[in-house]
Amino acid sequence: MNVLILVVVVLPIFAAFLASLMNEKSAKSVAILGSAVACLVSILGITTGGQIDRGFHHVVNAPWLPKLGLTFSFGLDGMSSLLVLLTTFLTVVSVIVVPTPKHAVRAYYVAILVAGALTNVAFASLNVLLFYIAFEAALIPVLIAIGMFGGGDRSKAAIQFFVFTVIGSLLLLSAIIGLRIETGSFDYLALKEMVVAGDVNASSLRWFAIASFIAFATKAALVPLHAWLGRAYVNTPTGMLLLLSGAMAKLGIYGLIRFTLPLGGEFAQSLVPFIVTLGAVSVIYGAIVAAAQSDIKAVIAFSSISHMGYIVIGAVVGDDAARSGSVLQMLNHGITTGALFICCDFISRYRGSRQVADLGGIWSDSPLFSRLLLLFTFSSVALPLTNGFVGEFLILLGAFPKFPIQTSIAAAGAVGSAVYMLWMIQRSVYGAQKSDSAKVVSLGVSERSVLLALALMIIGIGIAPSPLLAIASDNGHMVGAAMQPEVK
Amino acid sequence: MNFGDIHAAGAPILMAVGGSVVLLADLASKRSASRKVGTIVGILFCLAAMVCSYTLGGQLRTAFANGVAVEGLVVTMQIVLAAIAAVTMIASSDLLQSFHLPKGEFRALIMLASAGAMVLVQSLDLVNAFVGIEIMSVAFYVLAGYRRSQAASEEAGAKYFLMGAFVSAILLFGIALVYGSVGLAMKANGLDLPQGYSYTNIVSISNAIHQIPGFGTNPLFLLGTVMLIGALMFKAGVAPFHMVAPDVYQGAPAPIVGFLATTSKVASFTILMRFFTVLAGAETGTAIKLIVIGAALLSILVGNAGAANQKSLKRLFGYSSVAHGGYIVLGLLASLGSNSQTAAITAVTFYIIAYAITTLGCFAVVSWLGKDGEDADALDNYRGLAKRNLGAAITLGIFLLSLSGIPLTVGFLTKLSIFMALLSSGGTWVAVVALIGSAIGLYAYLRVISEMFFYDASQTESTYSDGASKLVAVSAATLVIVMGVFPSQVLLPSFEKSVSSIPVSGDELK
Repeated sequence: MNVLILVVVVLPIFAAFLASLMNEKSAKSVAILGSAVACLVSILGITTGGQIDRGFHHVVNAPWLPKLGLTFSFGLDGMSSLLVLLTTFLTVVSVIVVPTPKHAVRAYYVAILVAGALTNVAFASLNVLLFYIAFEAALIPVLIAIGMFGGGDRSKAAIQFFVFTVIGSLLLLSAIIGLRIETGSFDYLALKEMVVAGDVNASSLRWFAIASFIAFATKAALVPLHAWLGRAYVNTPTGMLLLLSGAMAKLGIYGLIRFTLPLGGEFAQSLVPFIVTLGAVSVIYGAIVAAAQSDIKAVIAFSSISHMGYIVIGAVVGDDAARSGSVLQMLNHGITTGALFICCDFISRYRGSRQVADLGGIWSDSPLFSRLLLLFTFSSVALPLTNGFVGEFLILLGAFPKFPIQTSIAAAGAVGSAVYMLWMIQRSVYGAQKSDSAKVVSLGVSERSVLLALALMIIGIGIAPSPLLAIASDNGHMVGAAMQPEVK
Repeated sequence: MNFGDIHAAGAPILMAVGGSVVLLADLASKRSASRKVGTIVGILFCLAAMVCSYTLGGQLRTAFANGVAVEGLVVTMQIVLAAIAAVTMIASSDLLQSFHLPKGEFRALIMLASAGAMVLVQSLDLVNAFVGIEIMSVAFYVLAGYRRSQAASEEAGAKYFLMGAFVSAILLFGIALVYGSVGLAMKANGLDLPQGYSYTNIVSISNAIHQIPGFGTNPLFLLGTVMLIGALMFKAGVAPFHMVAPDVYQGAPAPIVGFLATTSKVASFTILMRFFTVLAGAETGTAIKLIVIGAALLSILVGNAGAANQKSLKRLFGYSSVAHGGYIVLGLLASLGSNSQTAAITAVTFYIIAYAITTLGCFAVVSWLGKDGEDADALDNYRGLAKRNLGAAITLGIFLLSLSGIPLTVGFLTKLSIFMALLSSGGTWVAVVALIGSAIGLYAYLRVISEMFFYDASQTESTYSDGASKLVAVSAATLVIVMGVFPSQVLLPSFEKSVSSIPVSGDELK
């Protein structure tokens, strides 16, 4: 029995339970402790092998509801172990760095910890129904966090976000039930074998491909299924937003790579040009909409649509380099966008506004913060020597030979993103301060250390991406795993 | 008639006797003294009925000249019915006092309605079913109008009575048509009536359908069947026969609504299930299927859409019950397919039980938060509830998530099993329409969650705290979560064994 995944999942939930019983101050310590240990354990997940089954490590199988075909089946390959690491890391960051809301602090920590744990269940699950359950249940803490702690439009944002994504996931549910009836199994590995062997009839595969694509595209906010994103991101409290944009939106792309393409049969392959086109459209659309925003949080939110468009292209084109670039870019996007949202939260707290027009003068007020913000922006626009460059470059490199037109359009979008991001920074950071009511900007200790750590990661991955790329591309053969014998 | 017969019909007999005892005791004693004692006596009779049903086991046995058949499904449902009656009596023990309503006849009516529902559940002969429905319905009419001082309650009672009486006539007419068509066809084809069965017996109907070529599309029989199904659907509150449901839900006091909603659904759907298993695979089944699909989809769409913009919580639950009736009918639809019958019956039974728990819980919250003899009905009462009474907000939130079918609640598993049964009987596009309905319903439930959690309190005074309702609501919420995570441990083993013993064709019943 391999307990690693169970620790990563159960520990935060246990911490959430403890936090809900404690006073507000110790709740924070418990939340930090629980998520930090889970993060360390998930690093172990990459460097050790555990039980191996058909390319997956740390395999766990335990019955839950055998009648329904629901089992606790977990396993990690390169992609999922990186995503689990990302999720646990972002959980730690979001409980440490962002100042807590003024009321119901415990509920806030519980929501973040539970959301992170359920997202990890989804990333690590090898049972399709278990994946679905975690995929959907993870929405509840997000709903609560947006609704209770979000911005001015929170109620509407919460309902809109929830209804949108649940409609998508209901389609996914019908798709997996269809597969189950056809094949008698919810087991991912068994399903994959059956589909590869051609044992499943084409019409149910077609339905699976369409329905699961819609579900995952909604989650990844691919145009035209992105409508929930703007209002939701702008109104989500920053701590939860790190998880939502950094980790949970990745479930959509993860789902495309893990489920839609392998289990959708030939029909899913025939969807690829269509998906790539939507990805390119997303890149351009996100850039245009972001350029038109006056709220810096909205700029970053819409730039996410653009980035997710890239990642989708890399995920589906069927090129190994592009795919590992895509996996790496999921990490990068989680780190960079998270850092930008933290900066954004910081600016709005100390300046009392997120409107570009009210800002300015930050460069001289707060030199360290401004330089870090500039670095995060460089990473977001994929300047060489930052992490973003490696991912985007690999994606473009792998996608171009197959889809030259769409890839060129997406690459043009990259130029566009550099323009609007740098323009935003220029107006909001440089120049003279435009509003008088502003206080002096200074970073707290925890914020400073977290932002510095994120900056180091950005540069580190930018200079030496190869270890992560090796994990991302090695489908199932991890750094430490090669030394361990395969157990069937 | 012998001891075995009486044992087989023991549960309804005990409930009826219990009802009479409670009524007479109330007459004999002073009002104040009878308060607690009456409730305790009523609950004891409910427990006795449960034990009596339980001792019958899962074996099929018929009684009263084949008018009654008892097997696993019936036992399960009778236990559920007795539990609903007991829970209702517990939940309303404080409430009636604060509403200044008489208690004695209240308990008697609950128990008599429950007795009628039990007769309905175990009847094999349609005439018995009719008797059961009437016993149940007459008590329902009185209960719906129980707050005579309130115009809304009076309106609900009157409407329910008029519609119900009309529907009973249709039901009786339908039974007569079935009787006539079965009898004529059997005589014409030289078939003998099975020994000891009448023409209105489900076994005889099954024989006629499966042995006489072309009988399944006999117009008289079809007409009778449609009337029968329509009338039962009215009793279960399924669209297009749902018109009266929201009014009744809004007019009657919350614990009574919880009782009406759950008992009527449990009883009507169980007898429908038994009737449908006979029709399965026959030509009639194909013809009836369209009507059933129509009713199910209409219920899901009308119910969820009606719930979406309600300002009254009880009315919202009224529409929601129409929608959930629709999902249950979808499960029945799957039971008309010949290859998915066991799965469908299991799914429907599971759904009904889960729905009963959730609904009782919802209405318990409504009366828990009520004050000054009023239910907490208006949605405004729930604004900022999380800041005033976090426990109540979380409890109701759990029920709402379960009603929307979100994972880790029992509502998800029931919806999952209904859809699995439905899709394996080939109803893909039906399932898609049902999913769209679910999305609309989700919005309706989220509005309430949003009022409770996402706003600041509009009123700060403490609410009237009804301890009994609180107990019921919190236990139901716990069950919803526990059954949503570990149904096998709580429910499924015993229940699957009992359901698998349901006779799936008339032949097995003989």
